[in-house]
Amino acid sequence: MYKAGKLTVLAVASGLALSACSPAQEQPSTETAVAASATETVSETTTVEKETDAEGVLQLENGTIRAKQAADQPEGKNMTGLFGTLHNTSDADVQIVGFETSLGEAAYEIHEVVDGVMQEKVGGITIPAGGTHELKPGGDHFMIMNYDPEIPAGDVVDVTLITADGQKVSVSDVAVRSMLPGDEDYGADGSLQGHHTHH
Amino acid sequence: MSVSRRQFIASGAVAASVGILAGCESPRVQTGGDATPLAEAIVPFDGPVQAGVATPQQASLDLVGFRLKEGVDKRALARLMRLWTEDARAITAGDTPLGSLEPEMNQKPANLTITVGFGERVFDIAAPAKKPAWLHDMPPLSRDQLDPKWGQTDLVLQICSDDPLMNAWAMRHMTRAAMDYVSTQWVQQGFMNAFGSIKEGETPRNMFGQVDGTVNPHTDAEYAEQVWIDEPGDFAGSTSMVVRRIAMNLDTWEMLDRTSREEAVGRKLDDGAPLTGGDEHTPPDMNARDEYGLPVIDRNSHMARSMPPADHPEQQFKRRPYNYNLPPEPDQEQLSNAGLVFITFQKDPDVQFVPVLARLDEADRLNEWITHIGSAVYWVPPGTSLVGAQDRFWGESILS
Repeated sequence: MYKAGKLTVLAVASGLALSACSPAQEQPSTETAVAASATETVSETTTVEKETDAEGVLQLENGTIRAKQAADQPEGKNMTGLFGTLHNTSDADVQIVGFETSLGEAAYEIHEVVDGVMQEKVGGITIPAGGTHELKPGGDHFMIMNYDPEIPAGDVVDVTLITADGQKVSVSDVAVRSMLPGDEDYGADGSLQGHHTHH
Repeated sequence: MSVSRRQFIASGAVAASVGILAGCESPRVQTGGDATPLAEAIVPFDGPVQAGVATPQQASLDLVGFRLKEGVDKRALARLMRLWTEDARAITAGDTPLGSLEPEMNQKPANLTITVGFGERVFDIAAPAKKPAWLHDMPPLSRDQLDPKWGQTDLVLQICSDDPLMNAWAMRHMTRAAMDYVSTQWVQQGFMNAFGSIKEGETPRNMFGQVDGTVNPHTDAEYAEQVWIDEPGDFAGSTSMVVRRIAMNLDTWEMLDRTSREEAVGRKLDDGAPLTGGDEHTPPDMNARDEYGLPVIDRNSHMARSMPPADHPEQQFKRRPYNYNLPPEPDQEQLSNAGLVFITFQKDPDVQFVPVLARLDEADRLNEWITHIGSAVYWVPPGTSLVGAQDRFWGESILS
């Protein structure tokens, strides 16, 4: 869904250039025409595509870390979430069992939401070959915990995904954004609740 | 692209690329078949200049003035501009910006443009040595009744599209994405004709019924001459934005008969042609006299007073005004609460715009029915690009 929009932009812009002064005419149907092409060119031109450096294993699309203030601030916390869509671009299943970031020392956990309660996801996340897995508020997500400093909106963080067979896949420049959803103190049913397995 | 941004602008290629958009039907594009008229209406975000200046006027305006939160320093400004640029790039392309759970809300951007302006205080914080000489409050004018509630802000976003809901959601996202850095100081909402109601390229009207926006740059050369700053290097592709909020007294204006209304401006009401004849774009004949030997066009008409004098041809600028029409204040006497969000773009307001304002303040028949109630000035950073040497995010060169 996300990619199609960007590809449409590129095609429409060039379509306009060609058809500038002709009478109202059908715009080319861009979605199917470009869907098959140019993930490479798109990846040059959009920040969303700042994904993996490792070839052919995992990509994180629309990776977003929820901004937070420092733990000693009135609105501060010592934890936050990471969201996005994981793509397994290899031809084998991949099991993500952990991750690290360029933020440094913290407790990095993979979490799920079960019956409105957040908890560590035993076994991590397994993505079938060619499949995707969404990390989202109210669903599976990554947690950065025991981390006191501010993580300000507009910064970027490098993330390293760790697979069950010990591979490390780097995802650079994951963006930090202020987000209203994704506060780990709110359960999927909207009620305020605690996080399981706080350290 | 390998050509420098300055060369690109000087060569006229800038206006050519926006000229595609400004010249004829694009980007206000009609489609055939089952597609809705605005289905493919996207204005490219990146380029040597920001969109929303030369872009043909869209129907809806949300002009949002922001105040920097306490403690926002140069690095925080850079972070804000990075996230704002990325999110604006996504939203205007119909892509879901990061952190949004509402992909449905911007799938049809409807010619959305998002344009940022930096107020004086941004330079004071981040780059005092680079502050343009003209970036300061407008000098006070005798007839002004400026209300601080419509005054200068640290940052401004001009959000325009042909879909008021798209506009509202774009404003919502840009506001929430910036919540750690700014608070909203004012919102000036405006409108002109809905997409598809007037012909492409037709000059819209204001609430006085006047054709409003006739005198404007149109060609690449005119934009290069009047609007786009070309030096120093960091500033190539930037411009200035002046915002004047102008209240209109419709009650007293409408007491005039049509001839009197036309004489106050110097133009016909029906087609905007000068009273000396021709069509909307015919230059007025300021020397023409009627059968009594009196000037056909009143020397103090709005058109006469706003024209650049023969010895100051540089007093020209891009006008991109929007109408406003608010609920009447509870205690006001007038029937309506309407006016103009009068936005102009020019290389140097001190040279091109202030002298015109001063001349109008001194004498303008229209002053009887209008009052300036708000004023703000901004630097509009150059356009951005993720390839080549341009700023990757708004104002990068002055925030680095």
